[in-house]
Amino acid sequence: MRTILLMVRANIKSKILQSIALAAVFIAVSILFFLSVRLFGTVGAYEDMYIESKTSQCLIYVEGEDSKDIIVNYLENNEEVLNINVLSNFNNIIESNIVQGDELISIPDAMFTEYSTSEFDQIKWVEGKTVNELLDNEVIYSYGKSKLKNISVGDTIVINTEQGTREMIIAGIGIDLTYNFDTITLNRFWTTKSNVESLENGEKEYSIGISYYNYSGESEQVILDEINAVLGDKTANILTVSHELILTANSFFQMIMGSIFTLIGVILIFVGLFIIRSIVFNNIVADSKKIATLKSTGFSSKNIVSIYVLEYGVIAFLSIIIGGLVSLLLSNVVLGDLNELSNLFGSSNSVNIIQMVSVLIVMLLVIEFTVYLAARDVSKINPAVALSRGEQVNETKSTFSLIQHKRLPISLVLAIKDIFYNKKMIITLILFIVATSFTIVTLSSASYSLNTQKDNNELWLGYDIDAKVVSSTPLDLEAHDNMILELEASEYIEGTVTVYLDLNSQIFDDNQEKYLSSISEVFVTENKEPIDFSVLDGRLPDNEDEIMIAHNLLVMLKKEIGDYTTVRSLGEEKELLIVGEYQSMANQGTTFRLFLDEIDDEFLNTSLIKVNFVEGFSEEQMFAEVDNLFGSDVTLVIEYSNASMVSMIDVLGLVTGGVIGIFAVICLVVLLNLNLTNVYKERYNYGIYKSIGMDDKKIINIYLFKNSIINIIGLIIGGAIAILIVPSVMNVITGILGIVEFPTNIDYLSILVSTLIVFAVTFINALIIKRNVSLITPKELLVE
Amino acid sequence: MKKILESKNLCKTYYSNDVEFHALKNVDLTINQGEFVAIMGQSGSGKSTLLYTLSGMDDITGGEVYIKDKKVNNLKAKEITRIRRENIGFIFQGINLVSNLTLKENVVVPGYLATKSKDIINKRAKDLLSKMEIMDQINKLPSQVSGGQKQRAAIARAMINSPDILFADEPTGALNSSSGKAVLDLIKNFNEDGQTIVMVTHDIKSASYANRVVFLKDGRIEGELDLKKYQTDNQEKVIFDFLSEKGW
Ligand SMILES: Nc1ncnc2c1ncn2[C@@H]1O[C@H](COP(=O)(O)OP(=O)(O)O)[C@@H](O)[C@H]1O
Ligand SMILES: [Mg+2]
Repeated sequence: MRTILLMVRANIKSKILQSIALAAVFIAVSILFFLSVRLFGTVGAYEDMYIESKTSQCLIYVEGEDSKDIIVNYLENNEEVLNINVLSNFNNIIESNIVQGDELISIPDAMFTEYSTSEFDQIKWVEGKTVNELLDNEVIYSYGKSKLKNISVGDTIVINTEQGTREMIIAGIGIDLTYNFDTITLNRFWTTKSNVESLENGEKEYSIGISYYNYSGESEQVILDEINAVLGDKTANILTVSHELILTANSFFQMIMGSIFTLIGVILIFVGLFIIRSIVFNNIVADSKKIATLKSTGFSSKNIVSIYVLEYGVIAFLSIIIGGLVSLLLSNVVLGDLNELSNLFGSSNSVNIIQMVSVLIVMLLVIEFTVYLAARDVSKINPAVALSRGEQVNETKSTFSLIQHKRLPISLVLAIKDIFYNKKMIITLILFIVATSFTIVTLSSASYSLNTQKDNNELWLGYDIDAKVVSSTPLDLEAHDNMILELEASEYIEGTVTVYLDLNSQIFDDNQEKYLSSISEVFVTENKEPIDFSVLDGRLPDNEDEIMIAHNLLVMLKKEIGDYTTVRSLGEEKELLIVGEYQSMANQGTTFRLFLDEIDDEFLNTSLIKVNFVEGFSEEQMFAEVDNLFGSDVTLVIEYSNASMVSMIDVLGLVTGGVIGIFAVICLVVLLNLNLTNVYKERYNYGIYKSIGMDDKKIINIYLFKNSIINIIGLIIGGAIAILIVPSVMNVITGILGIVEFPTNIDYLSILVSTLIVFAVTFINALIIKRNVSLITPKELLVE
Repeated sequence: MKKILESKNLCKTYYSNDVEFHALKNVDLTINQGEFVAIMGQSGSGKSTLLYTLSGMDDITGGEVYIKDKKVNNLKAKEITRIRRENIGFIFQGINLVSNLTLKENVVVPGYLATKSKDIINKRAKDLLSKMEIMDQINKLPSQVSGGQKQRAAIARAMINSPDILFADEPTGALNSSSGKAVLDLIKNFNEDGQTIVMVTHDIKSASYANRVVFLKDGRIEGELDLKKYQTDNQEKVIFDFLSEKGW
């Protein structure tokens, strides 16, 4: 044992540069590993917080005291319900904006909900005032949304209701516990009961939170169906956000982040292990003379393997500890934004020692096992052969003849010969470059594609509109029609459509023989053309007996265009002919669309007029045009496709940047490593080349040519795989969100970026290796 | 006679762990065109060091070395590379062929480095290799042929650029006696065609192929023996007597 330890020390000392380079690989890999584990840790914290928690799981928004009492009465007698959280709610708001100096930040669909302090409550305090400290006209707002929109404590929210204008102050910030990713939430403001009641006039509204003993999708559906039954004709008064819906919405963030991190993780683990393996293997080949000497003096293969296992164990252990510490610093400094995002999950930033230690142990074990597997090749070294030839020689016949390629520069030809000769090493290098370029191109293209589609309402919503028009006074049918006439007359407006969303719709599933809850989008327009409705297949409905179904829902129902389907919408049950399918992100692509000639008075008040302006018309011009047409009675609210989508894209951009940086560093240290071991191995050949009159420049050129060829092959393969795969990957991911045909754009700049990174690394390595090569003298060829 | 290689006051000192070791002490040696000089001496006497410093493979710590009246010590890397390429050929005891190049490729590489016309080099390589009688092995890798065949390829490699001086450091050290004899015959052949040769050996039989013996002891030249004055059949005895007299 003592001898072995001595050997280990001597080995590390004699290969100090290589040891440092190897340590750098371990450090870089462990940094990424620790960061991923921490991110996954926060995702795990979400599980406890949202899935296991008994926070109001299902939300029912209800209008009117009577309806509320019916629901509460039903729920109180249901054995599966653990708790009912009845809170005053107000959402009869025409328009609301947050004021920051001269800036107005529009808050669409704002609602004000009473804050109760029960354990079933939906908010976790973060900063500012808690609910008990709230004064009149003070509210608490969501952390994620405030980050997204740059809103802070002290800002004022101005709300327009039928009674006039009210101002409230944002006094506190809290995390909405309904959704795991706080930015997906509704624009809810929590405030005191008296504040909510002071906003009300006429019918009272409530938010009823249900907590279940044991949640299951089926039992929830039964409860919700029964609520609809007991409500009878009052069903139109409620809006249900089921726990099932919340869970699917929650999975959104995890799915995208999860797939990215899994992809990177898998690539890293495979590439990392492969690299460790080939570094160890190369070292053994380079050391074969020494190993043979040890063997001839009586070391067993086992002894020698344990030297390697210990040697790499020491380096790996120290590196992982350094990597862990650096990752702590990194996650707090460089990846501060990502950290803040993990705050959105509500998880704390404290370091989990047990987690860190287990990662350390797992990494160490994996590395050691890889080293062990590679080091077993020691047993193949035959002392006689290795000592007399100086190195273990690959017996395969060389295929590339130098003589035939006498026109090429000699360094290039020698480089190509090397490539054929060192296949194992070359494959490792190529694989590594493939992984690097694939990851960079894939992530950049995903991020780039999403970014270019950020404002594409047509894609996300399934139809093209710029804004909705909101009147401060309730409109009757005549006033509504007049407004549309005026809008249509404007030369700046391409088209208008009246939209009513029936969130309590149902569609019959023949397979399960039951109704599924769904959302119906009801459109009324004279001219569909300018609205650019999405049509994946089939056509738009021509009359009220026809229906169009979103792709994911159509697949779920196993129906085809030409079939009939039964739906409940706008309080009626109808049998309709399916004439087309479309894509839209609403409700994860499980909605259906009806086109009516006219909208009923009953629904007129809650429907919206949406407009599509001519191309290139700026937002200011839009506001000016509406002001010009209607004066101050009517306001225009710009439609943003989806706030959570936008925040998602921002996160992706951040992750992409980080990953490219990390890969650049890993690429540098890994390639440096492989190259250094190679120089070590090639030292003997370089000595011969020098003795026959080859200069350092030509020797470096062999390296440069060889690596350029490897780089180009790796970049082409990695880039090509990425270009081929990205569109389908993107379609799968967005398909789950309801967008089956997503226009993926390849980010060609990222191909350039990966090329630059890889070649920059090659040249940096060349500089380092050059020093090493210039130290080699032919004298090393001397035999004592 | 034209002198082709000359050292004046050549000194080489090794420093290791603050200990100085004078491996060569004021060596004055002149070698004329067409000579075949054997450098002899006991192990550790400085033979290899002398060969490496004379051939520009290693730098020196004092004195001067001239090849064809051109000073070769303390040159820039670029110039020393030119000399290795054009003026000298080197045969190693350890043979030292590039393991992933075939024998033929090993031979042509220095030629390609020195000359633009690769066709001329290919032809010359073919001539040399057939002279070495290994034409049937030339497309094999070094690991696939015997030690003697490898050393013949190494000789062809050393001769490819028709060097002014061929250096050989114990060229038969790694070979058995019959292939050793064949290699020495080949080297002698080149000398008979006018090639200047400087060979290190500790073996009297090998030295008897030369026409001058230089005896080295503790980094100094202890004496020289001109073999041309003696009959060919008793040269080994002459060398033995000379060495014994000088304290072998
Ligand atoms: N790199 C070196 N550092 C220190 N001493 C050396 C070095 N190379 C050779 N020597 C010493 O120089 C002396 C001459 O070595 P060498 O020329 O190899 O002898 P020979 O070839 O005659 O056996 C020896 O004593 C050897 O130990
Ligand atoms: Mg020697």
